[in-house]
Amino acid sequence: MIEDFIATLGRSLPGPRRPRQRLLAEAQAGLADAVQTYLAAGMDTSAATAHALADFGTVSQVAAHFQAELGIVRTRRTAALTVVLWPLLTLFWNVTWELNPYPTWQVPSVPFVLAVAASALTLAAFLHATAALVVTGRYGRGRSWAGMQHDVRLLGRTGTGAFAATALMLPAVDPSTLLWPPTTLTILAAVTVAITAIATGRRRPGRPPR
Amino acid sequence: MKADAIRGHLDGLVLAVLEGRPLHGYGVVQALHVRSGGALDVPTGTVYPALHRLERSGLISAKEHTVAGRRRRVYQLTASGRRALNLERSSWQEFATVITAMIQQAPS
Repeated sequence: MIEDFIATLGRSLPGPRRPRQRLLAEAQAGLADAVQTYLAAGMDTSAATAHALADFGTVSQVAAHFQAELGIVRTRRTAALTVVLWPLLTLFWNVTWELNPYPTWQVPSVPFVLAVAASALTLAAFLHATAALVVTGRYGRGRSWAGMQHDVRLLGRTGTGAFAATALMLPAVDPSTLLWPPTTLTILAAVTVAITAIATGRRRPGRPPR
Repeated sequence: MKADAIRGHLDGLVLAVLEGRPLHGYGVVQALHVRSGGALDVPTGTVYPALHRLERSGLISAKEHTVAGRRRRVYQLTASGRRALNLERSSWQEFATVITAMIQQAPS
């Protein structure tokens, strides 16, 4: 019965697998302890389980609290990914831009201007992600930062998407640029990161309890 | 006391029960029940995300221990948690003083 309840609660929780399993395992252990306490007080197993589950709350009562916490964990992961990948992608992109022996187009050009705009967007994503990591960690005093969670995911998606779009523009202007392996690798990395960010962001985030 | 009344204060209450000694998840649930004299009527399931949140914020830390033959995460206050608890106490006392002064019956 407790296992069924925890399984039902788990199905209502999107989010990273390991923190979700840890939270659910701890809740299940707590429920088992509660049953033991009621058994020690003289109840039969059925009544003890029913009392333990009643104390715990229904799925609709507690799921929002679990979702809010898991939502922050997911936002922190997105933010950490953005913080780590942005400097790497920027470095690779600059190397590709500066050293590729194949481009035939001139700077400034439309791709150049778009690349600068995309860089500004990804810089905004980087700064916002850094701030999110700070305030959802030891300096956040446990607040949910719901608005910031949304912004981090949105900026993560648009920033990496813009970066990938700009990277793809290079071979669109001159396919011969793909002959230089660093360019090909940078474009593949940018597109992979963008697809991952967009796919992650499409999952429904946890709504914090009111 | 209903869940609505303590909304926003659960973290402070959890810190308060951990002030005396380290506790595992259900130990925190029991301590909240005992300290409130059974008056605290919140779904105990909300305590586990609160513990996760407080640990993420660095206000409590956890260690794995074996309790009654089972592996348990046992939580204790950190120095930051102790400071946060003191702040929570001060702001609550200030709040309670103001509300008590305002809500008590005016002398006739």
